[in-house]
Amino acid sequence: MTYTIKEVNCETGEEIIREATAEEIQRIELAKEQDEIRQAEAAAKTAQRQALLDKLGITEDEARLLLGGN
Amino acid sequence: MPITKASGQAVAPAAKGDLVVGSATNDASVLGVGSNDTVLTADSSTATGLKWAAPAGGAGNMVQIANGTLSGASVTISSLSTYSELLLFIEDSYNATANGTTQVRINNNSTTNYDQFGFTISNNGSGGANPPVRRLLNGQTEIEAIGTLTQNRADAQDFFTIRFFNTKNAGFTSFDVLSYADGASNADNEIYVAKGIYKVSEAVSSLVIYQTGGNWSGGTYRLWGG
Repeated sequence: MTYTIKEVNCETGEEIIREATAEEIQRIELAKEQDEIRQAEAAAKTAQRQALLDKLGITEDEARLLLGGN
Repeated sequence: MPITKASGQAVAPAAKGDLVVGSATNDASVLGVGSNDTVLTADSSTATGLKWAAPAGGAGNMVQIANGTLSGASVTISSLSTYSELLLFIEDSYNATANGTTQVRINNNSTTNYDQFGFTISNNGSGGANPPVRRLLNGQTEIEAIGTLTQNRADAQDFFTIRFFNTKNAGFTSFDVLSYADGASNADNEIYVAKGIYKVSEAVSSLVIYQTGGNWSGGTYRLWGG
């Protein structure tokens, strides 16, 4: 994938669109990887919760009621 | 009136407003009066340990200093050093290639200098709300809007606002965050409220906005300064 970078100078109003440098690409890819890990962790937690609810045969609202939550 | 130093030499103000100040142990010198409306400020790098400087003060009237379309992998807004406070609005951003979150860095600093304490409220997919979830994010490498934006969703109505305080001077910059992630289904909508600190003693000269999914397909930004 080609990444571009937009730079805006507030003083001069100048706008530049250029290709990302190797270092910038590395940072972008790293942020992407970290975010994918977070998304996977969140999805796994949701799946785990649903599996537990299925096992107990109750809904999320019922589980909340059982635990005294809102 | 001259003051006699330990060495026997006399030191005296030369003009109205001049000060005779200690410049070392048993030594003194004259600090000339500063410009109108400046205030006396400690500065260990000067000969007297003092200087005249413009008062830090609070923000003045906020004015819009930048606005435009989000494009590419990141947008850097520079030349911000003259502003004491900044307010950033990011609106309706989305990405064609992958899910992602919107993030912002100060001075392109990607080290673990950002702490954010806040909470999220999300819905449970059936019209109700989940209880708030606390989010204590210590040592982050960016300011983050919690909530994943679904790829290729042009009709998403997400937003991310950040208000920055003490941006002009050295010293830590604090920030307030409010964001809303409009997910693909009713179960993905998330509101996030937080307060944070950027733990580097420096003025804010630039902000880098990016989305972890890659290049933006749409969205706008507006930046106000004062």
